[in-house]
Amino acid sequence: APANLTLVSYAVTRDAFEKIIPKFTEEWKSKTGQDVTFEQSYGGSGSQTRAVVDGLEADIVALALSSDVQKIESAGLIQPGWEQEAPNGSIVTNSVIAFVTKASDNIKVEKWADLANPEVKVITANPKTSGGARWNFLGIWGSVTKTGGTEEQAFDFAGKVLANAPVLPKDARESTDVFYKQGQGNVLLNYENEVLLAKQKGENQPYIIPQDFNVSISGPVAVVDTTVDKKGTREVRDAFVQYLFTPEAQQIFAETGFRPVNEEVLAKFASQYPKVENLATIEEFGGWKKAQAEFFDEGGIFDKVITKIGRQ
Amino acid sequence: MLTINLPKTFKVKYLLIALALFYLILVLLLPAIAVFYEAFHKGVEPFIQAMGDRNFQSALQLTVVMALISVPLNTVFGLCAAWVLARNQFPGRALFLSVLDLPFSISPVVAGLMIVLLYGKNGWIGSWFASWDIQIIFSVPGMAIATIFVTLPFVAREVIPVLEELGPEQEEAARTLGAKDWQIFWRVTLPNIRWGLLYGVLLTNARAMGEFGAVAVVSGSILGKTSTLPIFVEQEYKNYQTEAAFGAAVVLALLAVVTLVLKEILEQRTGHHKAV
Repeated sequence: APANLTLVSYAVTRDAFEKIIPKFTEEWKSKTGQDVTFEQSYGGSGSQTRAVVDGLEADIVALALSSDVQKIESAGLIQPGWEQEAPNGSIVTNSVIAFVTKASDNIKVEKWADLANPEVKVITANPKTSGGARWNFLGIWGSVTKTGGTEEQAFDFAGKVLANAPVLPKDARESTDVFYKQGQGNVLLNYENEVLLAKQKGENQPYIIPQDFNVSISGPVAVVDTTVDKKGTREVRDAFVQYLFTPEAQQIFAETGFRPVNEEVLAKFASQYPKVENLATIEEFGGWKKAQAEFFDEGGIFDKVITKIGRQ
Repeated sequence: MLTINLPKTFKVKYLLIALALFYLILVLLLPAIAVFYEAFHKGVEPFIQAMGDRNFQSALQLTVVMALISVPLNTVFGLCAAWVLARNQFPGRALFLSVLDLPFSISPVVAGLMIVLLYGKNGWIGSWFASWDIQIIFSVPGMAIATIFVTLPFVAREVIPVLEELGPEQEEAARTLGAKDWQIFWRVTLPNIRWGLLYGVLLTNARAMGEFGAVAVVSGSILGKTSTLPIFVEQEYKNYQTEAAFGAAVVLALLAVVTLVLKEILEQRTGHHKAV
């Protein structure tokens, strides 16, 4: 019988999945003779998570943050231990933070420390509402603490950077609009893959990948167990998840702006994705659960920084 | 006095007209032109290509389905509600009237969230439906409920004032002449309220096709399955498919124009018999 899968993912993966899915269905058909069709839903990672928890029947989720998959796990829809079910800890793509600048500006922004320069206006979204902005804040923080600085210094630095932010837009897309369309700010903190996607669609802006420090932004993939158990065909879903890690699929991710997790494919794209030596994963911040509570929950470090610069 | 006053009022008159025109151009005309410009500034080809997209066609289809479900239901409901409210005095009438207005005062996003809370997997009624394996939200039924909710008051709100102004005299006269209830409605009431009713139906239709907030919350945005034109516009825009997004916006605008033209035709056709 033909199978029908629902893939729920975050907005910027659409170009990649629209190329990967036909390749997979073709390969699956020739291998097993079974027809597979896909329903696809794309949106903000946080709202997609919420929709799955509320009953959007996803077979496979590919989200922007592991903490989003953990929320679905907490709701009882994904069995614990999903990280071990696919290769590479179920992380299917990587990205890093990019500094997007304006060709017309004379201001030089190359390192994290440059963001504290009072002449630089920084555009980053609000980490309270934007998953991407949480990475940005961890980047700002880690650029001090992971390069030998103390937490006090990091607190000071984060205060200076946020004081340079004229607005805190609600999500990554809105911050992009504030930067490009409204012309605010000198530097935009954004995912490297977003910048590359915008570039492919004709929005060409100079950008650099800060080399002195960066964070590894990893996108997890997981099978939603309750849906799959109900529909009763686990095989094809597992096969699709495995397929995402093959060189063919990884190649497509690389072409659409994501850093591939497959070493050989990454080597092929080495010039597009310059290697960052000092690269921190979320585990170095204690994992998402801890980082969320420590940095972004009510009264956390982000709130304290905001209160401090508000007082000045 | 006269010689001084006349040019002055003249000036004021034209100043006011200019102001109103400027305002209209700024908030209505320019944005509309911008939509058409964005859709066509790279020629007609990207537009035609976008129209051929399977996801676009299914979004268009679903948009029409939403209107086909909500317009008849809300027309019948609106007529009944208007009749009851305009022709009867009863305790709780004022309350009924304000309840009817709730969809106007509740933000569409909140309306969508209420439906999720009710029909969601963990919702009050949703868990019951789930046990029967019926999917309400993130599929067409939920989107229809959301559309019906936001378009509920239009017909009633347009018809009530007409009925009230009309008064019950003609209907009572018909009754004393021996007309049945159905005949009274069909021959006396309906012809009198037709403009209000028509306008209400048009507003319902426009909103049903254009609604974004409430429908977006309950749709799950599954491409080619649960995305209506407004949702399609947002999705394409966010995916940097500017031409496709504005192309769909143009189609939405044209749908609105079609309803306006229909209204004009209806008005012209029936307008001649108006001299009663």
